[in-house]
Amino acid sequence: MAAVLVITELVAGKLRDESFELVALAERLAVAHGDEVVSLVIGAGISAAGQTLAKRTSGRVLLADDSRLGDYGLENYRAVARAALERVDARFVLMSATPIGWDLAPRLAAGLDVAYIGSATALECGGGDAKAVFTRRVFGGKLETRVAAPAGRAVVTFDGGAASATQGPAQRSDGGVVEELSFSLPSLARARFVERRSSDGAGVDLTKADVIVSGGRGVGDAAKFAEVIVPLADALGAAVGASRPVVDAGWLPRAHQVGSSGQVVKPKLYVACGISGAVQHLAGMKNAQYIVAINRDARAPIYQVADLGVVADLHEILPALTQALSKRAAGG
Amino acid sequence: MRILVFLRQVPRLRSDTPLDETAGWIDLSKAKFDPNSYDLFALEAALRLTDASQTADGSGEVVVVSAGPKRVVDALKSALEIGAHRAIHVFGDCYEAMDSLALARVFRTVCESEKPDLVLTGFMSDDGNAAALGPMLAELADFASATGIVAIEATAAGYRVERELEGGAFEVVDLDRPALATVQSGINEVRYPSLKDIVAARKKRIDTLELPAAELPTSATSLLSVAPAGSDGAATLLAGSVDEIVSQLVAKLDELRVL
Ligand SMILES: Cc1cc2nc3c(=O)[nH]c(=O)nc-3n(C[C@H](O)[C@H](O)[C@H](O)COP(=O)(O)OP(=O)(O)OC[C@H]3O[C@@H](n4cnc5c(N)ncnc54)[C@H](O)[C@@H]3O)c2cc1C
Repeated sequence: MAAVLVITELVAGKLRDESFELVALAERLAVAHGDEVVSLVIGAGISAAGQTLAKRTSGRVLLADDSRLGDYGLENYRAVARAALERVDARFVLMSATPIGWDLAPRLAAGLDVAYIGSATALECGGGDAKAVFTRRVFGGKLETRVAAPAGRAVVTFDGGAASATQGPAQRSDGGVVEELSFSLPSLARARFVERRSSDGAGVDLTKADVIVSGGRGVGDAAKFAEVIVPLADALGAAVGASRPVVDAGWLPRAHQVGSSGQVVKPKLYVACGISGAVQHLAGMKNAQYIVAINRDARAPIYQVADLGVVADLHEILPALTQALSKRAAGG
Repeated sequence: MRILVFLRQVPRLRSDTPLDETAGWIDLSKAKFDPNSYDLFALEAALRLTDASQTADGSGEVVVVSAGPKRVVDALKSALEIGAHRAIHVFGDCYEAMDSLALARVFRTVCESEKPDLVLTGFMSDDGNAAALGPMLAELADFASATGIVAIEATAAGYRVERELEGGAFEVVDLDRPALATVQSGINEVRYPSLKDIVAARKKRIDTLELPAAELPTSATSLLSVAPAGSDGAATLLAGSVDEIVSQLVAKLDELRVL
């Protein structure tokens, strides 16, 4: 029987939410093709995670539990994935579009000589047509393409949110089947994990802010950022956020970055100015309660998540808004 | 030290760029093209490594490679002006629509003949956003690899890189030579060529490589359709004069009780 292999991921010993989403997606693919779902958990001391997962899938769970697998290492994880791929005939291999997924998944696809579909956001399958179709965003989220793997085999990474993690089968009381995977790790790795570091955040904690005013590349330069974004934030008593290019260019310290590689925020109000709304930025702010976007391109993807939009030049709107707010505060 | 930099030439998407329904992509016929932004960071990182090795022992060469029709020569020329020492143009119209795996196969041939110590390329392309070419090439060429790096330095056995993870976390990885890394933004600021650099670039070599049709790989994926990305829920757009827009915004802020 062919299979859909899900390579799950742990963070601090716990399965990521995205891994449960993958299982839900795999269940759909498996039903459409008459395949089984096989989930792989890789790490050190992971039997509890394996049990949790077994209750959430109709299929088998393979455990690769080894002290050398606690930290991600490309060659070790690849060796484990290959061992699993020898054990099951995987039509599809699913991973999440995370630093581990984007490091390992394309290499697996190339090694298997099958299609690779990266950062998919949705899956269509089932019906009479057995071929699965994947949706992915291109051009920084502005366009959406539908992609298929005509040969019927693929390695796919999914963005978080591509499925609801609760779409899978109901919790199983019997606990599902957990099996140990046997594998051997390469004795000499050519890519060696040295250490993990984290930036100290430099005292900027955007996650606690009620209101965030963020600026993007569209603001223009550091001087304009200080001229239009900061005063508006002050007038609103808001924290200052930024997209990645703003901190890359040094207009603001990295600690202000919002997004998948910055902070993930959930304020009451998020004001995005001159930010296009690339997938990685949206990942950091789309759960804000209310989003206002100011962007002169009506097709900017930020409008996909915004509640309120102003399609205009931010240099005209923001100073006028700041002035109106200051006047009001002064009782005028 | 020889570093290969794979540089893609990407179409600029404008609000009036037409879509090509049969190709499942944008209509490239009238598009303007730029060098892929992430690949320029890779080029700059390569130049900084070879600048250092040239100072140390006189060795060091950056070879920039691009596949595509005639127009990609423009991207190669920009790279030579920025400082690449030599360029290879893998010539052909077929590369425009090839997926990452097929391109990785083509570039493996280039790696086999050039025998680089290091391959650098952008984390992803500005058009397809696949983030796959680098690691696929590393797999086919059997190189150690790391994706999304924000720092790199040469070591005795190879390279020490810093990968960016999520939420402000980083991972330091040692790669043995030959190695491949894909470069994330923020690693450096790309230098602007001086007039002298631009003049010097005219003397640099651009070799053309044409693969026999029989050796051209085919894509394993197929694009079925393309459309503007859909909305979760349509945003209400404010209209009117600046004053009218501002008073509507203030009213909304009032309603949200954030003032
Ligand atoms: C692995 C990875 C992780 C990443 N992590 C993050 C992250 O954490 N956070 C993040 O933000 N990005 C991240 N990125 C980068 C992301 O892909 C985008 O490149 C980035 O978000 C774009 O920033 P921007 O919207 O400011 O710039 P652009 O995309 O250049 O958008 C600028 C916008 O400003 C508008 N504009 C220009 N002038 C004006 C004007 N006068 N008035 C009004 N509007 C104007 C334009 O219409 C445009 O939409 C990551 C990328 C990768 C590959």
